[in-house]
Amino acid sequence: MKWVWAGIVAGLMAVAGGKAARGETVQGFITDVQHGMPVSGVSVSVPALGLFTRSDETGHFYLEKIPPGRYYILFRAIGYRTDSISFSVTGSQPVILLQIRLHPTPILLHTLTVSGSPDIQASPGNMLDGNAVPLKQVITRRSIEQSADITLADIAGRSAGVSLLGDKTATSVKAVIRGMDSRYSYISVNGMALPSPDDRSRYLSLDLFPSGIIDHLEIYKTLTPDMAGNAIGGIINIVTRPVPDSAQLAVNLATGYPQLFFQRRSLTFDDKVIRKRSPYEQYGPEHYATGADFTKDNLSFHAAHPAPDMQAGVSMADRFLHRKLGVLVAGSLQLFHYGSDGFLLLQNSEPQLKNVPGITDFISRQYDVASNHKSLYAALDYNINEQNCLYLHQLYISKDDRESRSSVDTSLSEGRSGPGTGRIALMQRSRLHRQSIEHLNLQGRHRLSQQLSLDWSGVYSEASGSYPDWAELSANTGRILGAGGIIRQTPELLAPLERTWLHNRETEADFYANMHYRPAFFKQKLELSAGTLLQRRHRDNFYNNYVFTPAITNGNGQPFQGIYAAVWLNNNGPQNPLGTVNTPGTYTAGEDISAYYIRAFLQAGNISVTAGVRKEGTVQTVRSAADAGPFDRDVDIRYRDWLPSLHLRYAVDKKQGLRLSYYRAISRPSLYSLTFFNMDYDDYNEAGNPFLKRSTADNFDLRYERSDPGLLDELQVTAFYKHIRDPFEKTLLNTGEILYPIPQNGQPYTPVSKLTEQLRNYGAAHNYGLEIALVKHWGGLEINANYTFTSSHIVQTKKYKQRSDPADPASDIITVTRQEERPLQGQSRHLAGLILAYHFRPYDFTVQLTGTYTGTRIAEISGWYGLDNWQKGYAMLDLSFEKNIGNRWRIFAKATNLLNSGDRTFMKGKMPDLPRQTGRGDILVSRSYNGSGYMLGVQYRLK
Amino acid sequence: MQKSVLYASCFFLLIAGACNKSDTDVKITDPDPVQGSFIAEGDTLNTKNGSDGRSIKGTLKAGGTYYLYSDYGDAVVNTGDTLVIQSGVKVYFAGPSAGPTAIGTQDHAPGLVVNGTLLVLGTQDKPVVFTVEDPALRSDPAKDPQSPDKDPAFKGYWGGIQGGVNSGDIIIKWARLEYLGGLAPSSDPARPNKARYGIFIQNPKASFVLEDSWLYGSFDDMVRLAGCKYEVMRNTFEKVGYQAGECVNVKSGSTGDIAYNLVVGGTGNAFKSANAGGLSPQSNMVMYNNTIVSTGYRQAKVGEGGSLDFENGGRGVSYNNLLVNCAFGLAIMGGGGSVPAADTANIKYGYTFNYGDNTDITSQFLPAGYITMKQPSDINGGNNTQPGANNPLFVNYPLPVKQGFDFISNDFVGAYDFHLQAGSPANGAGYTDFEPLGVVKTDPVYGVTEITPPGADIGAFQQDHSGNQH
Repeated sequence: MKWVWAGIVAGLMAVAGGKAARGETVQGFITDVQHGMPVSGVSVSVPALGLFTRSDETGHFYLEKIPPGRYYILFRAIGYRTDSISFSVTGSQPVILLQIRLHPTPILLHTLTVSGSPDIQASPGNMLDGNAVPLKQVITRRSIEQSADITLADIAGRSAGVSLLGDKTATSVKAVIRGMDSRYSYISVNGMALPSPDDRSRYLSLDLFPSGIIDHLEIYKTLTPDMAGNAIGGIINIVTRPVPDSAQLAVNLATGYPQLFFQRRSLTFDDKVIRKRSPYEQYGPEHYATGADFTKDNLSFHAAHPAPDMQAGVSMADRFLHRKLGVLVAGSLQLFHYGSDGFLLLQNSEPQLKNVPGITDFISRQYDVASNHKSLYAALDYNINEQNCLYLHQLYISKDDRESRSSVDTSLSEGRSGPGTGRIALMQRSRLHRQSIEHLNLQGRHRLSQQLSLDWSGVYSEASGSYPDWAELSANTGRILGAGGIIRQTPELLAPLERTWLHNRETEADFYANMHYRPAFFKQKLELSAGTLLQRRHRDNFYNNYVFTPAITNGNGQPFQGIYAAVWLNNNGPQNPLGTVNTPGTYTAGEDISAYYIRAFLQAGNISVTAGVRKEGTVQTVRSAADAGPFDRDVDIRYRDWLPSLHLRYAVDKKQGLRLSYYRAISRPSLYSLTFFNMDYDDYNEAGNPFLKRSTADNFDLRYERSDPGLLDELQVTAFYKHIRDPFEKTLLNTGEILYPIPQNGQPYTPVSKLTEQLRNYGAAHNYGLEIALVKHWGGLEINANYTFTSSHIVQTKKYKQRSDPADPASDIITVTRQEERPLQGQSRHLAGLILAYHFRPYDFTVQLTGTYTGTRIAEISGWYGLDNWQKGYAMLDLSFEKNIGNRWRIFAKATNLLNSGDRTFMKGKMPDLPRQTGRGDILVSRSYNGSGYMLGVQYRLK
Repeated sequence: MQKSVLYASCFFLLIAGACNKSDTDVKITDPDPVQGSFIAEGDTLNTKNGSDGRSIKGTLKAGGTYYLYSDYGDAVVNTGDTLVIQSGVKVYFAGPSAGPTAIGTQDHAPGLVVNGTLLVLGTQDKPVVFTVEDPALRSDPAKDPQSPDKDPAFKGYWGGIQGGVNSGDIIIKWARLEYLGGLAPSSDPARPNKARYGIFIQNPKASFVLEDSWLYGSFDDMVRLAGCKYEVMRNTFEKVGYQAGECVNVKSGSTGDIAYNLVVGGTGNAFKSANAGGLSPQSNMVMYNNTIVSTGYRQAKVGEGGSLDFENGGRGVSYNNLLVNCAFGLAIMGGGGSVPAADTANIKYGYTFNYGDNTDITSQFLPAGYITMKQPSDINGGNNTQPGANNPLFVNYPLPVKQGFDFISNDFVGAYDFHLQAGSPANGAGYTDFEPLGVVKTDPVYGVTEITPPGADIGAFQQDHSGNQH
């Protein structure tokens, strides 16, 4: 480690030394007055001399060869008040040092101009970040407001190379950066990683974050050594709102309604009655639960048109103690309703001969969700003096989703002799999903000398998620062709019921520290940084499940008459009155990361370089509650990674630049994936894998950028290539194959006990592509367009069913393996986005049309050859309006998903006699539509 | 200057190259292995000195009484070990008869886990018996027909016989097994707190023999063959499955014969074959000369499970089976479409004797939704059969049944006698010109005692007194 540090310093010194002696130079360091964070991309100009530059990613800028005299410098940047400073060059100083603090202007960006591209200031779309050395994309607060975005998910979907993967009701949304599944990227808040309230992944759902707390969004597609290395795909960094420099009050109110609920009613249940804790948690492990320990009200459903959606937000800010202390508090409440209608063809877990899919059921489904978000955000800054600043951020977010799912499952095999016949299952599911995040971040920034600065952060976060009393009430009936060709419907009979409590809680304590050194004798165009991250994560998972079996009260079952009339075996109680707790689903786990990095930044002429290396040490431990059986084991995993990176920028001229980036990154398996969990999920048994290796990737990016107001205001063309070793891939295992290489029952390994899906490492994947983004203005019209082509390849070993002698139809059907090459899951070959905005200046009125296209991609990987489920490409269209009335009032309106583009999943191949097919040479296995949504709102601001 | 940057970059790449080393260390603790211990006379099989569960091997001596105590975990036969159960042995499930920790409640239904070899060697005179100790917990035949809700047959007092993925052979001769299908322990990786299968085997290399045994009462499947070579011969299945479950459910990796069995009051199918589970070889079920009575009525799921079934890639043979008042006849899932069809090209069937006392039954001799065709060799082969036609003439069983006869609770053998009278139309109507698979060797201890060849009289009981001996 030490020699690496020394070597880099020596190397860079040698480089920088060559130019140390020339000309008069002004060097400055620009920080944000609220955060003290360096501000990059600030346009810096000296009008008297016609000089122009921009601040680099460390907030520094340089102006060279300045003749003696008195000048002023103008600073302009998106999101900041334009500022100027005057200075004198006497000729006697080798270097003039300036420190500039810019004041953010979070709302009224209209009045700002940005050098070189006067119209970008009104840009409602993505700002193509001009100067940062790592490749990143910034979406500004202005753009967020103008698109009337509600959550982070809405915002992220408009970026180049980013697509979204939602669940059926869009209540959980993951970002896919350049086709890399969300497990390869992470979301940070002000650069700090956050734990996830999700029960099965380390990823944070984007819709957790209300847009009101976001100042801007940064999407990093390359990493520098100071960033956590757990991001092969990239990082989505949320920068929360800073304290403005003047007192402020803003109130937002909005309402809306989904089109779907004009057309039909929403199925709902009372979530207030849900017992947050299971009988096991309430009364302890010795308690024998009876029927009285369970409410029935959450399984009593009724239909109604929901109340209108509501959004309310308030934010207040002020400065105290001679403006040294700044306080901003923002709170929001949001209540949304979603729904979707659709169907699903249920596939057998195994295909037929020659991998013809076996389709057993047609399920029509309706989802209805009421989503209740709350957030409370506070930011404090305290400027002790010019050199020292303290910042505190507090963020609390909660989200409760009350979801009803109503399904009718008609068997295509059992009792099916034609349309209108077959076994039928009627199901109504009640599910409440509660999630919350609490995040505290105390930061300090210290300028120890002109050359040396230090910043540090202490972070504590807690993320909780729970599904209290997840239950699905179901009944069976059927329409069977009987004597005399008459179709007879059998009585509806109550089916078994399971009630599940699932909680997870993850806490994280982090310490970050960074030291920056800018040696004066190199004209300070060199910056050396070193830093550390110490992260301690702890996770508790709790799984508790009760099974109820219906008593037979009449004939062969119990006629279904709703939950209140249901009678269960075992004295009307659960079959397992102690619950099911000591399973691998209940576990504690920890993850400790110790990271150190060194980084050097150097600017020489028209080349700038950021280079360095990061070392990350990881310790992961898992202890499951299984107190017997094969999974009564502890897991302890330790590894170290060296993650070098190099970023070069070459300014061809003032309008054009070239960038080359290389970085190595890893993706750690989530703690959940490393457990010995072994449970039946949707299709197969799923098993965890403590032997799962992290993925490692070498990533290359080459970008050409051009900023030329005459032609195209901004243009970026980026080519990228990723070589990923040991990606995690879902693998299907047969009974008897090796599940774990650990001994069991006298065997040297633990075998698979039934058809099981497990994450495993597979060879290497190659991912390459091209991104194009551009911005163009004509008067009040702005066009902001992006397109990404991605190609990825991975070879997977899959199962195939054939005759043992394919030529002999009497020979046995056996399962063999076959290699299949496919793109990565979630990767679309084509992604495109287009924003058209028109600003009517005389009326201060803006209208914006936002369209995105997400190309066909694999939605789910099958363990069987040729049977991956693909999601059809789809286009989304949103329209929004905004009108300012005076300085204080703003009215906005938005219509989303105008095309009602739903989700359609298909398999390749053809199959006769399936319901609801559109007949395009593939098998449509699911379809769902959410409908359009409308919102109207008003904002009042007082400065 | 720019050259120097280039040099610096090269230098950096050198360093990067040197860094290209990562080390990983994964440690996973192993549970302590438990040595199997020998059994003493009268021993409790699933605990020793208070241990929660126990590994056992050796011999349960002829005529002895042994216990499975409900407060403890499973008795386990380790890989490489053998447990022999000699004739006349009684294994009693003991424990509290009432209260929250009563026998058969959660975590109080221990089973016999077989990772090694199990030999249950009863004889006709001295069968091996597995039953609950307290007579008050047993079914009272005097109460039959009784509601399945109250019938102890479905209580699942113990966890049955559970073969591991690498188990050895499981050989069961002349045994009486009762009250199977207890809840799996919550630590069970596959079915925590769900009813276990009565007898489960899942190693395609292992042999499974179940002959001349009486299997009475289970909550779910009585026998699930998810990988084995099997011979299921001359057994009686009574009261199998509370609301779901097959008498013998054959999955992929399993091939063998099912013959001369009597099934009374099954819930779903008596015998079913599907090539599910991804194992080789393909599921193959040769079933012949079985008698199946009043089966398929407790199944809560509509449209499946009434007697005999081939689906989802299953192959095999069905001849000489007698189906009396079953909810559905022989079911073969169709081919060529989207539903998971049986391996219809490799299924042979015929000589089925259907009998039904009402049109709901006779109209499902060829079940709706399946492709089973009437065969010329069948008796009452089609769905237009007159109810009551071709009475098979059991020695002692009321046919036709009385008006209002409840097929659901008439799930017992009791004093009935399913032998055929001399004048039965089933006599001589069978087909004998085919071979059983005979996948298990014939051996008085380590194999099948006798693979009874196909019989001329349809059903399990032959006029020459061969076949089922019960």
